[in-house]
Amino acid sequence: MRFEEFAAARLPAVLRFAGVLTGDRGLAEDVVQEVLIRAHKRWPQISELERPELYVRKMVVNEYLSWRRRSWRLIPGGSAQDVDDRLTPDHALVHAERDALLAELGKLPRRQRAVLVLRYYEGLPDTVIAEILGCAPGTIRGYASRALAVLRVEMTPHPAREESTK
Amino acid sequence: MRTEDDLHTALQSLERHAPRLEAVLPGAARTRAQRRHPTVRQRPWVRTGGPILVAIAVVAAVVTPLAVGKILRGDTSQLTGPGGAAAANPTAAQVLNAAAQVAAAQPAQVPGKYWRVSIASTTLIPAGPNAHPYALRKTLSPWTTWYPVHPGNPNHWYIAYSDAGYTTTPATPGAAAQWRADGSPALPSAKLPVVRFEAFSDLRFGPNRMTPAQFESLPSDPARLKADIEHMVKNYSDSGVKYPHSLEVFGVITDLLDHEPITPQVRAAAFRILAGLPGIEMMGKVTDPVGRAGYMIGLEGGARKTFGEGRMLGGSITLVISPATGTLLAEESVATSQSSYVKSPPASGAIPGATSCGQVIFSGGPVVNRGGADSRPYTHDGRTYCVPRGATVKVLPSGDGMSDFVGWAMPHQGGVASENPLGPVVAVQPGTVTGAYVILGAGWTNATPAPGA
Repeated sequence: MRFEEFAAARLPAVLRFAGVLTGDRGLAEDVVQEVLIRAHKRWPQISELERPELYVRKMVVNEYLSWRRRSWRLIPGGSAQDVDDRLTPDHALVHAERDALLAELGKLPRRQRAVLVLRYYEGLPDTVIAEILGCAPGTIRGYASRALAVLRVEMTPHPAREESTK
Repeated sequence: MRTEDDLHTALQSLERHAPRLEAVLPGAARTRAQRRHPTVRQRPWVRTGGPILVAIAVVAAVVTPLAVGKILRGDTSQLTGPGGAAAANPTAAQVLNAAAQVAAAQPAQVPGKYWRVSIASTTLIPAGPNAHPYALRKTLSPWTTWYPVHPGNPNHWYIAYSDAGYTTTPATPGAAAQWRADGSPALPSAKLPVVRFEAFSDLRFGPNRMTPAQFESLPSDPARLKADIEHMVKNYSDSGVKYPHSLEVFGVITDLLDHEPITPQVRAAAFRILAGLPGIEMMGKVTDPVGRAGYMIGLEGGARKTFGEGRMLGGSITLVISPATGTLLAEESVATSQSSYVKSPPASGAIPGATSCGQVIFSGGPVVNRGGADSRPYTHDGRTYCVPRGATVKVLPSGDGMSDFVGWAMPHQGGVASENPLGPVVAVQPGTVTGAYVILGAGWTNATPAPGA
């Protein structure tokens, strides 16, 4: 797959993923732009991979987790209120609980947050998350259970996930 | 108590933070016609103009299998031990200090119109019959990149040329033996027209994107440069490696050395900082992928970077440094044995090659899932692809001399997805160089950007 084909087919999904991962449009823009630059330069290698998109997501996660953002994005303002938030004032009650959850999510350490996004937004099995984050599936389960405990989310039995992490 | 569904819904609502395409790809604002055809090429860096039939002058034609992890005795005339005598088995610090000494004595070039860099890269690809696959090292044609000295804006696009071709050679002596046993089939290679790319500048010092001219102001005093880098990386402790602080400093310096427009004196300072890093270690005397002699230096505990990972394993990033020229020759990723997949293979054992869809393979590193469990085989041009059930297959002629692009579209979903054809998967030994980023040349020029110039 050529880079242009990849970008045309997959970039919108990667953008959405970055938005969910970071919860901050400015940061998501920086992360994706940075990743695209590097992915483009090394596209001949990346396109050889089994799943270039997974690799690009991995780059997005690594970029998000990397220290660079810490110093780079500690610029006040900009991220607290987006235009879109102001355009959707309805469903206030549902949103109040959801926003409370999101606020707590925003306080999680980045790795824990990344695990939750990959698991509950991307729907990836823990083995793949482990590959993306470069650690063992057991570590992923540890991150997830700690994060879920903090967020007071009850885990439902999930045979497929248990199976895939053996 | 909340449920996992609540979490899923809440996360979905965060999609509103997704960047707009235009924000990450300036110039990508779609026209109405393009909106109707989502796969129309509209990226700012798609090739422009007609094919230019000029080859890049610097070609990495000869690829030398690398000896890794061993110290081979050889020319150490550039290296001096504490007493001034040449060291036979130099330490990482000795090599780095020797490189610093050579670099410090080099005259600083007067900046020209462009900082020009030529980079080649290598990666591993599997080859051979499924029962006995082996790894080939694929060396890509060089990229020559031109960065204007005063772009006016750090995000100014650079211009790059490459013919996007490649050569291959067996990756290790063992792979060479298997290749001969396989009847020495023709090694894959491609020579393609040179294309011109344009993209954002990627020159940076740590988190800061800078113009070539701005790099002139970096301190050449190691203590001051180190203080600047320390300031950048302070409070970082999230990498999970043995020397997280060293890893961050190592990363900044690697970025600085691999193609940034720094003076030889700043380069010397960078080498001296590396020499003093806790955990820095000598990995042996090696030749880089284009045959230049140097010493491989890494960080104990693994300096992982997002580079070279994927089917053929990730690995530690190492630097090949030449004390003779006082330069970084290459960055190489070396397969490690630290992957949990290597340590505890599943009960089913390693499967050497994938021959059907939906197979899960442990290739000594990442789990490779060929096609997914709900996919079916689709054969085109003698190659078999795994296509999800229910998808419509789309074959697009590649138009560039490479194999056709076989993709598919799912009903009710935009875009086209694809996977590579089925083929062998190779486990590589720890210590194997899985990828390299080779700096063939870097310097100032007043020439006008052109292929081969």
